[in-house]
Formats: sequence, C-alpha cells, structure tokens
Amino acid sequence: MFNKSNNNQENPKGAPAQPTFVPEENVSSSPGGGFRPSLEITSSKPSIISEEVELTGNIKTPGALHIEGTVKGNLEVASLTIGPTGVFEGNVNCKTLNVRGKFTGTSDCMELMVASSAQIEAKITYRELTLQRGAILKGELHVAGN
Amino acid sequence: MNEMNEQSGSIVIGSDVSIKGVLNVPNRAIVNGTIEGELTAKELIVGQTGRILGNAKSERADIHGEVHQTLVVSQSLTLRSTGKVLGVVHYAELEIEKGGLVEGKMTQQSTSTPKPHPPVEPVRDYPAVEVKTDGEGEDK
Repeated sequence: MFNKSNNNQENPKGAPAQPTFVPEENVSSSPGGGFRPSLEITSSKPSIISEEVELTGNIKTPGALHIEGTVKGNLEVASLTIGPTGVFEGNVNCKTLNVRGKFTGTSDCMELMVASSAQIEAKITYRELTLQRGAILKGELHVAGN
Repeated sequence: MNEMNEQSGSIVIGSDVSIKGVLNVPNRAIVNGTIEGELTAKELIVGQTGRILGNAKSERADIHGEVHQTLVVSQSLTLRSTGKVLGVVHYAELEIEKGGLVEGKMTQQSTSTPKPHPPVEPVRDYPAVEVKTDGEGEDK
C-alpha cells in the first residue's frame, strides 16, 4: 500500500486514535448502519483520512480508501467509503462507492451504496445501486452500459 | 381502515391491460398493466409487470415495475429491486432496494418533512440589577 504512508502523514493524530479502523465499529453508532463493509476487493486495510483532516489532491490506490475528514480532488481507488463525518468533493473512479457522509461531484462506479445519513449531489454512473431511506441524492444517475 | 373506504377512489389496472389518457385517482392506484399518459394518485403501486409511460404524481409510491419520463412523489418513494425509473424523479424521501435502477435526474425537496426548528436561544436569566453601587461601580 504505497499510499498508506502518505495518508498517515497527513493524519498525525488519527493513527493513534484509530489504529486499525474497521468500518463495522461505526455501524452501531451511525444512522447509516446495516451496510456491509465493502472491503472484499482487497484484504488489506483501508487508507484512512481521519476526522478533522483536510486533504486537497489526488489519490490513486488499488486498495480501499476511507474518508472521515474532508477531501477535495480526484480519486482512483478500488473502494471508497465516505464515513458519516466524511466530506468528499471531486471525481472518483471506483468499483465500490459507499457513502454515509457528504459527496459532491462525479463518480463512475460499479456498486453504489448510499446510507441514510448520506447527502449526495453528484453525477454518478453505476451498475448497481442501493439507497437507504432518508438519504438525500440529487443530481444525475446513469446506468453503465445503457 | 374500513375495506370499503380503502377501495373507494381506487383503481387496479390488471396485467396486459393498457390505458391511454389522464387518470385522477383520489386514493390508491395499482398498476400491473401499462398506462400511457398522466396519472395522479394518492398512493401509487406499480407491480412488476406494470409500466407507466408519461407523468406520474403521487404522495407515496411503491415501484416494482417501470416508470418512464417523470415521477413526482411528494412524500415517500420506494423503488424495489425489480423497479426501474427512467427520467426525472422528484421526491421527498427515497429508498432504493438493491437492484433497483434509476436513470436520469434526481431532485429532492423536503416539503413533507419540515426540518426541526433551529434551537431557540436560551433566555438568559440575568439577575435584576437594582442596587447601585457607590463609588466602585465600574465593571471591568
């Protein structure tokens, strides 16, 4: 995980606070609970942008990325999870997009999962979609291949 | 609920039935056939074989089939796994089961669920200052 060390540097206090962040830990506390974590793509641990971390830039990783802070930029990842406190603004290409926080921008993904706490204003191309009641989704949706 | 009340003002369009025109349904519309045109209902249920081509408007909608063009749901929209919406969707509250497809523009307005008022500023209970101090009355 070549990006991992970079992210941790951005994240001075996050590392000790959440040494091995597993998304399930959040499920019970977040209103968007009940989603299975989408980490089957890689067995490795996700790169984490913790709460109160702000990052502007592009990230590319064959693994999973978990955003709890604020990220602006372009992402090319296998799996992106925007946590309940996470804010992402920009363009993301990924296989699995799991949104519990705020997302503004565009995305091209295979599987889109939107939890009830999510607020999305985006143009999204997807193949499969799940949206929990209470989520706010504005913008354009396209089904890939159509 | 009384069964008669449930049925009055409702319509059921069976599978293989197709209708063209404008439908105003004060209560529940169950669509298993095809409607071309406009449909306004309080509660709209589109079955797996149901198709609406045109404009559909309702307070609540439960979509197992297809809706093309425009779907306006002032309260709660549920799109089931076999459901498909192609076109413009207005909703207040939305749920999409895995497998449900939406292709088009989504807009949301939370008219039916007014947001809770912002917290009222607490009334500060200052003690009434009546006694005037003599010389040293300047505050810091």
